[in-house]
Amino acid sequence: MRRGAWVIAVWVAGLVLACLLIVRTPFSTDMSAFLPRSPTPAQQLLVEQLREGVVSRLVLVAVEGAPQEALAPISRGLAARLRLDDHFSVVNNGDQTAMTAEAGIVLRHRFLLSPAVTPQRFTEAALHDALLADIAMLGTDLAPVVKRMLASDPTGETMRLLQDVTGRSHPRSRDGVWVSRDGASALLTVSARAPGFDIDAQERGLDYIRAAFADTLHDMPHMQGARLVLTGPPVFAVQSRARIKSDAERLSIIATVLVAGVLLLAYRSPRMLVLGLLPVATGALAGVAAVGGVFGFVHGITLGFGVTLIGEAVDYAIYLFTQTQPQAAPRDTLKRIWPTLRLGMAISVCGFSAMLLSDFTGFAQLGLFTIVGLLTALAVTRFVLPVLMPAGFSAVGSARIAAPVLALIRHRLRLRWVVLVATMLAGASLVLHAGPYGEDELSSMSPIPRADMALDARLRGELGAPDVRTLLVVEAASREAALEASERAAAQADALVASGVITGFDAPGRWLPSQAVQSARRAALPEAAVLQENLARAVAGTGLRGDIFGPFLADVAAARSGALLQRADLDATSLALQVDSLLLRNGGKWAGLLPLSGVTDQVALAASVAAMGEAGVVFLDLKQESDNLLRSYRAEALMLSGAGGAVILLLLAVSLRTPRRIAAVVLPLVAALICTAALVLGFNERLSIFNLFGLLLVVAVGSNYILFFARAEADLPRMVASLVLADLCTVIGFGILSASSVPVLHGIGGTVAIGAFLSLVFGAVLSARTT
Amino acid sequence: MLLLAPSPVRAEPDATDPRWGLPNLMRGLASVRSGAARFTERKYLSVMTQPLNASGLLHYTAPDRLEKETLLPQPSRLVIEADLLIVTRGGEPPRTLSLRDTPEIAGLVEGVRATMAGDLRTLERLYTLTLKGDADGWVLLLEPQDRRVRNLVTSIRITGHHNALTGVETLEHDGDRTEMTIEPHAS
Repeated sequence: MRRGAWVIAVWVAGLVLACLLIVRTPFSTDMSAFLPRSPTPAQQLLVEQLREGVVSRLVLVAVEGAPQEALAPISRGLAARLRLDDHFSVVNNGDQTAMTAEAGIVLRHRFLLSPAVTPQRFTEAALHDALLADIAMLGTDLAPVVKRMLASDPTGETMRLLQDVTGRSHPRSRDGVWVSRDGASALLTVSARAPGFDIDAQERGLDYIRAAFADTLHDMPHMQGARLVLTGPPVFAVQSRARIKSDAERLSIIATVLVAGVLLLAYRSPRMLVLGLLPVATGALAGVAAVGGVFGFVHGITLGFGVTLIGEAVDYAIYLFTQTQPQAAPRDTLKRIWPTLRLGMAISVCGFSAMLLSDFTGFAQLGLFTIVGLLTALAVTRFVLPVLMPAGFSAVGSARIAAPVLALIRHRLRLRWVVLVATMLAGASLVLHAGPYGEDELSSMSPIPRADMALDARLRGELGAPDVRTLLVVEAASREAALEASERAAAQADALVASGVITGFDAPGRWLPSQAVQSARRAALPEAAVLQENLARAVAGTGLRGDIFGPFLADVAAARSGALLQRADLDATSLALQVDSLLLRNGGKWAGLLPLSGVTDQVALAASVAAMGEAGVVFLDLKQESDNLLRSYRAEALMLSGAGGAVILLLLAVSLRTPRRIAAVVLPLVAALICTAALVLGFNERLSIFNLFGLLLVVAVGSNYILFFARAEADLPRMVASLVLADLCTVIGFGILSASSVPVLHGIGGTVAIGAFLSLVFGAVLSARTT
Repeated sequence: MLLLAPSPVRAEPDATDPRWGLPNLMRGLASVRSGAARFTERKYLSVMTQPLNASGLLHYTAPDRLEKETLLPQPSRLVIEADLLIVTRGGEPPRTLSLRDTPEIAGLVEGVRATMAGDLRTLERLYTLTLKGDADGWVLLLEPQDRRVRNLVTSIRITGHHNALTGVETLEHDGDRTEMTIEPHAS
């Protein structure tokens, strides 16, 4: 067999092997791959909450544009339809008639639920005090309510508990349903049954809400003006996915068409166009196979980013095709350009290799993917493409595009000063930049438009919807143990409330006390005869009639012999949701969450929690935790880029040897990076982690151009043409991505487009050599 | 004259000014943007063997905020604003109720508040109105229209002098009764 046939056979075998490996590799979109390898409990909980926490399922609904008197009927109609559906566990529109189940549970189990129930609660003296308090309330305008409860609940347990059901922050209510403060829209909250990360389920749920709204309006004439506004994490998740998908699809189609058009003009051969994609396609397959083999799974982000990161492999084919002279063999071209290609690839691999060491599995996967992908792509360029290239091929259409850069090279001595001054100005603007360089908030990476976030904040404010930020967290081996642990933590939180560090907190035991606590409360209820005698003495002299308390005596007797409250008793009420959202199964363990409210001083709070010394109580600030995670990403990205840069310098030193040659490569690259960073900072005011990724790509792509310029080249116009063609493709591809409003696409696209262009120009001016 | 009066109202024209009636009263009351007064209150409750007495200050701010500050026998503060009723007593955290959720309270306070606001539309929506007397001394009787509310509140009898309320007497379905007298107070 000829050598060429062997090469093709090995290549095809490799492709088959890679495909076999890939078929067996699970793909994951689990955010935990972007957690550190050994996450803190706080980080783990953060990701859990984002994935499936109660907040991740909450849809906030507003009905606008209807006449004010129509809002309540629409709200009731919509809520009734949604309550019928299986997608949602709780639908709340403020209609208290829909809360009768909750009120019933509270009434029935008040002696087990109320923290005030202790043996001392039912002594003659305590009952007397309770009755005096009741009389004081009878003197106010609350008298009708107090009167209704007095006979069965003189100690006021129900009233106190029901106060907690409705919650501390009331939305405004009109005609019995929640409305916005200006009264112009009706408000509802809807909790999806599916966890937040199940975006397909969330999408179906949202579609159902829209359909239910349309049905509701259908039954009511003249309501065409009414609009439905949805917000909340499920809405954002569905929208972001759709936006990223549509942006990525739309923009990559545009970019692909344009790049293919440019390459077709240059090659005048569709076959070459397809051949040009072989290195990068093979590289991507090999990269996925390698990551799957090493890590056991491939993250969706690795795939998406990885293909972008090995984009420079497209250039390999361009260099080969364009620099091949008519009537020359591709092998001869390769002989000439191979050292440069190899060094360029090695620079990229060094740049990315630092990522292998990352503490974040996601970064490490990206590193491995890129290295294997680039090595494979270069090997395909070196060995496979020459076999498949038609004899005598020459990129006839590329000759003219070199002209502008050749002009730069001719005037390079004068232009050097321009580059130098521009770089110094850019450097100065970077140094003098007022304010922080990086985004510290995770929200900056979110693809959600600002207006939508503002809408969400407004509705959240109106509804008093949970915006869980600070928590105490306890962990235990079982649900019951977690309940008990959170009751101990709640006692500590009570102390924090008493000392004014926080204004309040919630706890899983509020609606489901541990069995131990319930038993203790049940045991605190006195025997019928004792209670009757204590009550009779307590009533004396109060002015109350003594013969009205029969219901109270009966209820206490029933509670004494009744069963304890179980989680299943809460089913199908909003109390179940409240318990489940605070009592989570976390792997094999159970976690109890105590959200704190009214926290003014996070630092003081953290200190006092630490000082409380209750074993196993963790203080968690979710926002700070997510911002910390982002900061550690950025710190890690900076550290890895720094390490990569050092390795690249070492590599250049070893392979180029003389300081002059090293400088000829490093100076234009550094100048391009400085100017790109200054421009991006000027446009965006901040450098995001995506801009950093972009700069890394500029090093990978730009170094190739500069290495080619720095070589003494016999056929300068042809070499320059190949660089211009490669650069044109990069600038078009990434420039179009920068038109996206999705931060990740915009950030990487803009940075690479600017950086690649500047690398070419600066390389031409600072590094080009003419023979 | 009778034919011109709003339908559920049986206005009995006064000899001195035959044109005075419910619309005039309401316009006059609506012109009061804010005010303060002293009140004394006596409650006759079936669960008590003796009446309960209280006294304090009333503050009204148009259109829908009414604050009742009880000074004796124990200080407490009650604020009704829009749909919310907030009660603060001693050192306890305030209790917040929605009027909509407590028809027994809403039936009582809505009538007083809407009268103070001169809000004829709301009054006519919720109550059957009967006005007697003249501007110098009038009596407005409110009887709930809604049957559920009628099962809790039988009537509210408001007495007044020009644009000021001088007394409120409420009668509940179970026979409990509250008498409140109001005297203007320069605040």
